[in-house]
Amino acid sequence: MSRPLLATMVVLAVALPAIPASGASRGSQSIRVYAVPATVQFMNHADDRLRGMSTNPFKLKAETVILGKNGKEKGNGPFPGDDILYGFKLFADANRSQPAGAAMFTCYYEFVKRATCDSYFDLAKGLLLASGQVRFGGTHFTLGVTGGTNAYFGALGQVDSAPAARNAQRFDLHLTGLR
Amino acid sequence: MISRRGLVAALGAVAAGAAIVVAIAGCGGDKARSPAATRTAPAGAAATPSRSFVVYGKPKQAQSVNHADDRARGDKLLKSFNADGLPTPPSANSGKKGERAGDSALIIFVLYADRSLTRVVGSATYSCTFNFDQEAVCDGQFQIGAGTIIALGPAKFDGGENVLAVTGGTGQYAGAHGQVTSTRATGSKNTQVFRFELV
Repeated sequence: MSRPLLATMVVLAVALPAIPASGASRGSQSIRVYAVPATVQFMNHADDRLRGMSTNPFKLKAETVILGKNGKEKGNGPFPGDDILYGFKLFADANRSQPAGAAMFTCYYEFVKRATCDSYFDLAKGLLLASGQVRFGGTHFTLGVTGGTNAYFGALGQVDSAPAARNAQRFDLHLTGLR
Repeated sequence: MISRRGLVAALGAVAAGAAIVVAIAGCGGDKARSPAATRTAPAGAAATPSRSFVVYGKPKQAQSVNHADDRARGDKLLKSFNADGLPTPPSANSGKKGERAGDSALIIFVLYADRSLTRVVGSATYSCTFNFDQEAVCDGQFQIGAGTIIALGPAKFDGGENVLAVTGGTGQYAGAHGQVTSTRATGSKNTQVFRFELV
């Protein structure tokens, strides 16, 4: 190999940023974690909802959906526009002896107590994002994995959720598209 | 509640150790009307090309939305939901200065191709919902050239590095995946360095 060519290759190797190698095999992986609720915040947007009923870009009579004859909201909700934030501690085992990170769910309520939830799982090797529909109080649900960082760069797949012992939630993260 | 100026300053404080980013920006070059970029060609037929580039963002506008009333009503309702008897979120109602759980913020950046902020290449919007310990989940939309990059993830406004996952895009970034790392530009109060790594 000629010296100029070698020098050029060295310069190129240094100049190229650390990005996933093109053509690298796209792997898959499954991770099971147990989530224990750590904290929660519910946001009741009743006043915003009421203002939205009188001034909005739609020609719908939304009042009857939520308001009773007395002008108060029917039941306890959650109602459209409310949101709830859940913080979880994650463990690798059902006995909660091996901490595995944390998870955060931000859920925006729509109608019939269904919410669109954006979640992230903050694991030792990186971050995983998942989104999907969750019914209020529901324990079985599936989210789509929309991305990840570091070891989970470019991740796709899905998260299956099921109840576990002692008020925990089991999450099975099935990942594809890993480098 | 922090002021708009405080919010911009806090964003500006997202920071530190940008040596690698700066190095890449430097070697990527400041080519006209496009962010400093490198592209690697696929090695195999089934391979996907990868892209890495840097843009510089200067906050232009910020709006903080204080949902204290919604939070207070929510706290009352939470009991009726029997939400597992969970503790009150840290910093949620502490009275300390700063964003609290459920508050939101919108920030607009002007994006530049070069460190000296002379060549505009687009704009970015961050829509953030704060959760606990002053951390927020941010939805970032980066309009760069002939496309948009969509990113999502947690962000702390404490001067540290933030990494969001890129979940998609439009136009020249359609189908993009990867991550974007933001740090404070060296020697700047609030200019952000956004380093994209896409596949």
